[in-house]
Amino acid sequence: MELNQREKIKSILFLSPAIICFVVFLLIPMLYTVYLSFFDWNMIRPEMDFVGLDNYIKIFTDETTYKVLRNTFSYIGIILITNFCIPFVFAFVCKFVLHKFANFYKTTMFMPGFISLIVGSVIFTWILNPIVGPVALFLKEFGVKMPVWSTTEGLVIVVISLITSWKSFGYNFIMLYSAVSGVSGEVIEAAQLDNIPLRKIFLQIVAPMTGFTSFYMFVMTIIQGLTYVISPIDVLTKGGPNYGSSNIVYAAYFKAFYMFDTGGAAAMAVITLVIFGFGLFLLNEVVGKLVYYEN
Amino acid sequence: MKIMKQIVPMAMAAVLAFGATGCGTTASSSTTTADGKVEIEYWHINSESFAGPTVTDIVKRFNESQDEIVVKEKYIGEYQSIMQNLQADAAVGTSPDLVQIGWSYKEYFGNNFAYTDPNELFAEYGTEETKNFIDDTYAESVQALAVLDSGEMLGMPYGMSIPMLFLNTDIFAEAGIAVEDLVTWWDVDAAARTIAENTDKYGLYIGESNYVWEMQQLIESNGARYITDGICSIYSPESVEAMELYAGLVHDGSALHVVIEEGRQAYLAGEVGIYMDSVAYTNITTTTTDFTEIMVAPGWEDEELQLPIGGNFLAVTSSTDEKKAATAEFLTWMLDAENMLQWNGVTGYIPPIKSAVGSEFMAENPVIQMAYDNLDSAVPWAAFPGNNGLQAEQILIAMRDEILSSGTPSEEAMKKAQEEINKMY
Repeated sequence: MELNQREKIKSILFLSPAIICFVVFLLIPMLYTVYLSFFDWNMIRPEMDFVGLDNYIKIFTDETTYKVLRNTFSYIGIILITNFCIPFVFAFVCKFVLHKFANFYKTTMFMPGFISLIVGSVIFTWILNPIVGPVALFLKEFGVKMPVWSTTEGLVIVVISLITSWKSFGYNFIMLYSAVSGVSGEVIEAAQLDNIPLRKIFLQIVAPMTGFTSFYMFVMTIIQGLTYVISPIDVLTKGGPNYGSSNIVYAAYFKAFYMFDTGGAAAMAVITLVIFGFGLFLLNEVVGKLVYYEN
Repeated sequence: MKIMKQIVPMAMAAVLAFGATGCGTTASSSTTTADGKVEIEYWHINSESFAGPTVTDIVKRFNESQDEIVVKEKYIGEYQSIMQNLQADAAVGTSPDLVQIGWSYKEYFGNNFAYTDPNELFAEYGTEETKNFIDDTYAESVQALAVLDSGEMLGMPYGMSIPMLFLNTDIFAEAGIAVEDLVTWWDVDAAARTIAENTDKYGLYIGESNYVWEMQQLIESNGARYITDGICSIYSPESVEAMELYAGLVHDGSALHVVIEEGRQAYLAGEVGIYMDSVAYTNITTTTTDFTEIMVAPGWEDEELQLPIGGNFLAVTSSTDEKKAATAEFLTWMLDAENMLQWNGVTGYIPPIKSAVGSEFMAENPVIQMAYDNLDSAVPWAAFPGNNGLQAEQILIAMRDEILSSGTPSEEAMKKAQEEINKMY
């Protein structure tokens, strides 16, 4: 056998576990989801009724879809602040500003990452109980009445985003910290010697030099954030009040596993894929090209 | 050696690759255990704090009482979780043998899942003593709860509950109200406002679960009906009047509008004067608090009291003859008075069996006796027909939240909900 052919076979063999997993657990389910979106089915009825674009029409003519879409962008906005911007700043501060207790902060910030978000959500049901939870009782001491966040539109999204951030903040912080650690200390020292304010060091030196990782974390924060919020929504509000805490990912999950509307859920999933695919494409075209790759 | 360095990693990669293709296969569920016993699986909603240990004890004693059948009980979660898991299992061709199905899922379950009519089950697999188990165990009116319009029986009534009011007598004393004053929902309205004015507590909390069962009692007792002739009829002057009573209390701060877990915690912590929930929560409230007095949810002045039945029925979803026979035997154990009443005593559900009537158990459990005495006013949990039933219920939940959270007038929200639901039929 020629050397090249042998090398090709070897590389295919080594890639095959990953390729098979990708095809079996990602590509085939994705294509099947697109297929299912044209049917009225509940996963167990023997007959699948072909309905063409009916599922998509129902989604686009339902006013709750637009409410859910608005909620999705609200979630993205809040999660980007709490799970990307703040950990990024914290990582910079821990690396280049704090000279003591940096390891302590790293450990404590990461610890919630070990706790299941379902368990965390149940705990927060008690902690944030607006009548008898510890936070409510503490605020009562100062004459402040805690708002009933679980049934207040708008506020419910903020609280659920914060609960989600509590869990995933640590991981994002560690990833951004490792990126920030890759920035040469000498460059930072030189900047500090020139009396450049920390704000400018962060925005004009550290942020561009960690662009590769931070761009990845930016995208993953959005995707993972919308996936993680499913747990607290499901435990705390089931998408209520009046779809006020639902987002496009939870809406698909709810359609599939509460309404047993497999076709409708598949259509919602396809719409989600298209929206985020297009968003990622735009992001890459606009921001991705500005990312600095060291080599 | 050099060749070994190449072969070993390639072999490992090949094994991983074939392993990945193999991990989708489903292990077939075996009918018998290694020692030849028939194994059956029982799914339930009884968590650790809601009679879970009692279920474990009932199953353990059954397993020890004979050596042909092994029952594995599994706590799945709420009724919704059971339906989700049942659906997922059915999609891959497996199923448990016995399941607690919530009454609100009666229509959906009946239309979509394979089950055995209990009458047929005992006719085929019962012993001489248990051939007529259903008629021997249940009154006709109780049997009727689990019967579809086609005449087929879906399962065996197991948990029966009605809405009750749990009253904090300490708050009542502080507010200067007597429990006996609560006769109608108008009285509840007045009491809630008095509590909010005279104390720093909330007057009322009506449980806001992911069902509209509690709301059904409030609205239908005023003469309205969720469903008439198979279509939604919730929009009516009576339902608007009922909903406006509750909305008015929420909007002026006399009543709580929170999710069910928060509301329950608030009541148990002594922050709510009147709390509406299922009789099934009797044990939790009376063992956790020393201020609770309980009464049946009231009606309105001139209309007939309506008490929707909550709880569950046991559906037989076994697929083989062996497992069906084993399930039939286990059912006779579960519905035997001793075991049934053990479960009822811990949960607070009303016993569905004939043998409970006039028993010592009922004398020792006055709240359950009180609930039982009101079964004449019991009506089925409103379940919209067909596969859109679950979506219809969701529209009503959203309607409730829209009225209570956003302040949309009940008339507007109810009219819109009715139109939305009837568009699907």
